[in-house]
Amino acid sequence: MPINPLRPFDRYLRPYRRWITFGLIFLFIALSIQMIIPLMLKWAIDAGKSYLDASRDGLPLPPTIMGSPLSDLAMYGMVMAGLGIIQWVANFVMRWYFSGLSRYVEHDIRTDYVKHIVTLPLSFFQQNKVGDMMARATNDVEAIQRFLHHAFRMCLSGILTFFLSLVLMCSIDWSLALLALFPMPVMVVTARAVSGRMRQGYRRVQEQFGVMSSNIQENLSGARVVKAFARRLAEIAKFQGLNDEYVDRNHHLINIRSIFYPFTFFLNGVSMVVVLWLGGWRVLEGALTLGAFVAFNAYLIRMSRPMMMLGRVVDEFQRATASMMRIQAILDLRPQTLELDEDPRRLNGEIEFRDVTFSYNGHAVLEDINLRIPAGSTLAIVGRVGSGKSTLARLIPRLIHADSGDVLIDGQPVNGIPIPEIRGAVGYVPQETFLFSDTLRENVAMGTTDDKVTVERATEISHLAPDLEVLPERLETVVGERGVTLSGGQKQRTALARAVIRQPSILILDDAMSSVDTRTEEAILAELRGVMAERTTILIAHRISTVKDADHIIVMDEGRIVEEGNHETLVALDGIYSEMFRRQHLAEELDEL
Amino acid sequence: MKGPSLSVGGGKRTLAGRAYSTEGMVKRGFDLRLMGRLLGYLRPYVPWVFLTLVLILVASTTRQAGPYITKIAVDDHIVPGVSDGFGFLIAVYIGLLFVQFVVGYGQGWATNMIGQWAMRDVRLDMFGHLQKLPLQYFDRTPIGRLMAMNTNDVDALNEMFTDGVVSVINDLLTVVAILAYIFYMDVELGVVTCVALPVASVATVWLQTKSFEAYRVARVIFGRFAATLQETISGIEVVQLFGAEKRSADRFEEDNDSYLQARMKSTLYHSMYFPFMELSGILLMGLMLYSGGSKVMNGEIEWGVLVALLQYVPRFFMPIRDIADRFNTIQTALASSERIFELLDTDTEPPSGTHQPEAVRGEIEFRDVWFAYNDDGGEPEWVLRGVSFKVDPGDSLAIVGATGAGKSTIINLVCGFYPIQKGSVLVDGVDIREWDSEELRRRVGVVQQDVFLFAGDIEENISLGAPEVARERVLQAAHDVNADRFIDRLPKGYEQEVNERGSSLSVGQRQLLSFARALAADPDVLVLDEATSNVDTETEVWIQEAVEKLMTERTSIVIAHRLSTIRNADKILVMHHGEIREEGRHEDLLEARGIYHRLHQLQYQE
Ligand SMILES: Nc1ncnc2c1ncn2[C@@H]1O[C@H](COP(=O)(O)OP(=O)(O)O)[C@@H](O)[C@H]1O
Ligand SMILES: Nc1ncnc2c1ncn2[C@@H]1O[C@H](COP(=O)(O)OP(=O)(O)O)[C@@H](O)[C@H]1O
Ligand SMILES: [Mg+2]
Ligand SMILES: [Mg+2]
Repeated sequence: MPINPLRPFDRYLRPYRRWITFGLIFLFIALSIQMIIPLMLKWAIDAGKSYLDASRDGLPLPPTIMGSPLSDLAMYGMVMAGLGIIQWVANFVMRWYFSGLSRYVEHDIRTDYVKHIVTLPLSFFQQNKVGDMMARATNDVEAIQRFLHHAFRMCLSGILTFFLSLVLMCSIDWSLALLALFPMPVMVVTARAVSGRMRQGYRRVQEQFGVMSSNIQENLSGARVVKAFARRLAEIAKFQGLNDEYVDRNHHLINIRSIFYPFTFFLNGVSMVVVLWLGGWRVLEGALTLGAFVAFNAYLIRMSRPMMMLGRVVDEFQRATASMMRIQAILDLRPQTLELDEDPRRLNGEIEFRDVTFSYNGHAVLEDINLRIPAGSTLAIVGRVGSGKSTLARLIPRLIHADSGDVLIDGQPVNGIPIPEIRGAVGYVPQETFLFSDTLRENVAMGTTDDKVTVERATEISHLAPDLEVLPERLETVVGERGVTLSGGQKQRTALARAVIRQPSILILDDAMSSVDTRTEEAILAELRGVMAERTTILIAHRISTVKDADHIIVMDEGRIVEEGNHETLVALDGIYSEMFRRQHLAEELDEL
Repeated sequence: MKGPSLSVGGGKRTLAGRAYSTEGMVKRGFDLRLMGRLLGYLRPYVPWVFLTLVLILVASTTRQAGPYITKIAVDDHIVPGVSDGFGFLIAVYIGLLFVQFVVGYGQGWATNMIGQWAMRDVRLDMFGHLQKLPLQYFDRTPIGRLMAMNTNDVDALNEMFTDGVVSVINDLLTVVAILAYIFYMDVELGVVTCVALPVASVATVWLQTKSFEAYRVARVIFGRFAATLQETISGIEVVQLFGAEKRSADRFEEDNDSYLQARMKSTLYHSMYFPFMELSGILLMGLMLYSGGSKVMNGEIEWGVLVALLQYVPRFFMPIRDIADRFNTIQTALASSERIFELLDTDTEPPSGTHQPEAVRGEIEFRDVWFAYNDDGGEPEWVLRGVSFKVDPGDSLAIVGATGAGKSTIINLVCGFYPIQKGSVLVDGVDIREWDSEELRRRVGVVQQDVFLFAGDIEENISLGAPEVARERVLQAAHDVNADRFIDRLPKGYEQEVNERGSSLSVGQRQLLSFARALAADPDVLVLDEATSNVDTETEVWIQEAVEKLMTERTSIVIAHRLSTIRNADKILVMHHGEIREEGRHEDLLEARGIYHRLHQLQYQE
């Protein structure tokens, strides 16, 4: 362990410096009493024995304190009881401060972590697994708590107990003390050697545990698929393999661990034997009193506990620093600025793309995008699967950032507009709906306090209102995780309501009505046209009927804009769009034959 | 100055708490039946358990021999000054140390391994059971909570098996062994020692009741915190888009505050208890010094007895104190096992029938089916009201209707995902309750409305790791849905890993993979629930042609909003509010000038 094992946690301990001081004071009080007790035994026994020996040998009786040897004994007993009570109080205060400290620090670290993580850019969440981010907030923070809980009480008091006992033992008989302690270095060396291997064992176990948990998590999240494809037995077989591997790795660890602890007991026993043997000889030879022998044994017992804990504390320390590093690594990431100095400006909603390119892991997704969307107009985007439509839309609220070129809103590069301002101005309905397992009202409002449009009005605009009638508790219905208890179209319309309630100047509908039937879609679009007349709208869709009324339509293919214009010009162009138009109209033409 | 305080800000919240109100503070105390059921997991390892018990017995008696040997040394050698035989005594002591070492090793190894084996069985039971639970269960249970059961709760059980039960026995035997040694040396002093027992027990029981309650509360809060965090991280995009970061953070802080508060309560109890046990130890020591010392002075016992006693007293309190810790472990584990057994006792899908024909013709019939998702005894919210229809083998059926009309529900019922309340669903004329449900699902290939991809590579996501789905079938399926176009352009092609839930692919691409998955399984009945809703029309037409070719001889059920995809169906159902309003072929329905006609007009109007 380094000189100051608490350094990594310094930042979090600082606010509690006074608690630490206070705790330390009481720790010293408790410790001193603990150190006096064996001395009391020594005095009492030596006094009793010399009195008895003298009376047996007919020598002059040694003086007593309280008048008789029995009342002396009683006095020693009473003093011990008194000391015990003081120690009780001191120990209580000490524990209360130190254990409380560990809980408060745990609380502070966890709060910092979760507050920080929600402000990190989206790319962070794509690069990390949910399980891993969860583990930091739970297991890692707990590891730190556990270490801090023991750090002062066991580590510090252990070290102090050890040295004080050593000093007192030396003062009784230094050579015997040194001989009794000869197994200690062996203990330290083995502890070090073993703890390395144990740590590795723990790591391997932990790793496999992670694999096993993610497997369960995936299996549960995909329960519908697993069932639909009758993969039950295959899934069980797979899990069984992981489960067995986990037990195997534990087995390995247990082999080491179960030899380590009996070994420390053994070494401790050796010390006891040495004291009994050599100490016994000295008493026998008259070089040591019986009381000193008893006190010696008492100190040895007090020393053995910290020694046996040593391995564990080192272990906990290592885990805690590793955990702190994992958490610190995240706290060090730059958050997005979410605070605004003044009230957000109202954006007009003119959007422009200038030579924008974008790639995922070197794989170009958007190239040479040039586009101007006047404020208040409607842009429709059509194109093949994977052609980059959603990616284009995601650039606007700064969910992702262009590799080169500029995205401008109201003539200003988006990177210069504060995030809250931009996101406040954009109402986004993502292609994949995400609902929280909360009430529908909460899902729509998401904390807006804006009263301009009520939740009820938003559900009317998005035509969710008629469906509310059939839901058991209407707006107060709690939906399942990710909204599983709603039909696909109900989910999408909830997401739509969530976007319109904010009265955004830019509304982005990314395939937002794919699960909505044509009739409802038509009604929603009509409603939106009224409400959104003065808003910029970006509409990504596949149905011609959805996009044909847009002011401007672009056709994307492999990350480029390949055709643009309005419905009529595009149909006339005889390109991808007119082909698409023809295909969707074929049916109707056939009918008319 | 201000020290740690019990009350930290933060009040109650109701929303996220809702899902957890049923968890948590149920029964309490020591439930023997529960314990019995838990111990049942040890049955396969009875010989090992027996061995450990023997080893514990040996360990606890030999471990407590030390002070007694000291007594003999003091009385026979040290005080009288007789050195003869002292060396032998020391040799015996060393021998005992070796025995202790070997026994300790064996016992530690065996207990830990028994715990591991038992936990392996528990985990497997849970996993196996989870696979059999009905979808309704997953609809209302947050996955975060199930995960907590699979990790924390199983961990708690493991701790009980390795550190709880066995150690308690060990501790009790230690106490008994120490008492036996003391009584053997002097009965009166033994009685004095026993005075400590009720005091220690009362304190221990007090701690148990107090701190366990606080612990339970803390656990419930923490579970809620973890589930909310998990959900927030999963939905971070929405959180950020709608500027809800601060609100989420505030929620976490609130939970975190109440967690601290609950934890501080148990910290308080622990801070009182453990020092109290130390106090009892010192008091007993003082008492021993006095009463034992007086007896020595009166010549009733010898010095060695007192010396040994003073060594036994601290040893005596250690196991009692540890028992307090272990009861904590055990109670925690019992609370965990309550949850685990509750899971294991949750009704599985109704026992599947045994019908498992050689070949499936693919005739599907609904006979007056009434269905509601809420099956908990309350007023049923009918989602399907008396639905009847029939699809002949090899035919295609299309279902259209407003969202929420119950289309997906029909598909859920064909697969037997939910039990129906009235009427019957028949496949090949056999009620699906009589079908072997896994066989049925294997024959019916569904493309579900909600796409789910596993973290793994593209090929695994199509084949789902089934050995009977050969590579060629995967390639063919990918080709049929036009997914090979984008897969071939991925750096690693079919071996390309997709992120959790496929987040590194576009939504349409994910849908194509999910479609390919159904085709690769080579089903007898194909069911498409808005399977091309996120796909462009060009790809859609391509898929449609491929599917038509594949399904000429087989039955298919298609739900779609783009009417172009269904106009060739042999039969079209128009659903409205859980009822079939119109039924027939495309031309007939147009002629009828009903809902279908209106839908059609909307879609093709100029
Ligand atoms: N998070 C991501 N990581 C890597 N590649 C991605 C990611 N998101 C999308 N892509 C890729 O970018 C391309 C465009 O995706 P997207 O814009 O979603 O397409 P669409 O036009 O269907 O909306 C696709 O090839 C997709 O695989
Ligand atoms: N798992 C579920 N639990 C409870 N209610 C559900 C569940 N799935 C769907 N519902 C409800 O049943 C009704 C019909 O849904 P669904 O069949 O999915 O409609 P759709 O016709 O759009 O496919 C809706 O009102 C929906 O809210
Ligand atoms: Mg998209
Ligand atoms: Mg549906």
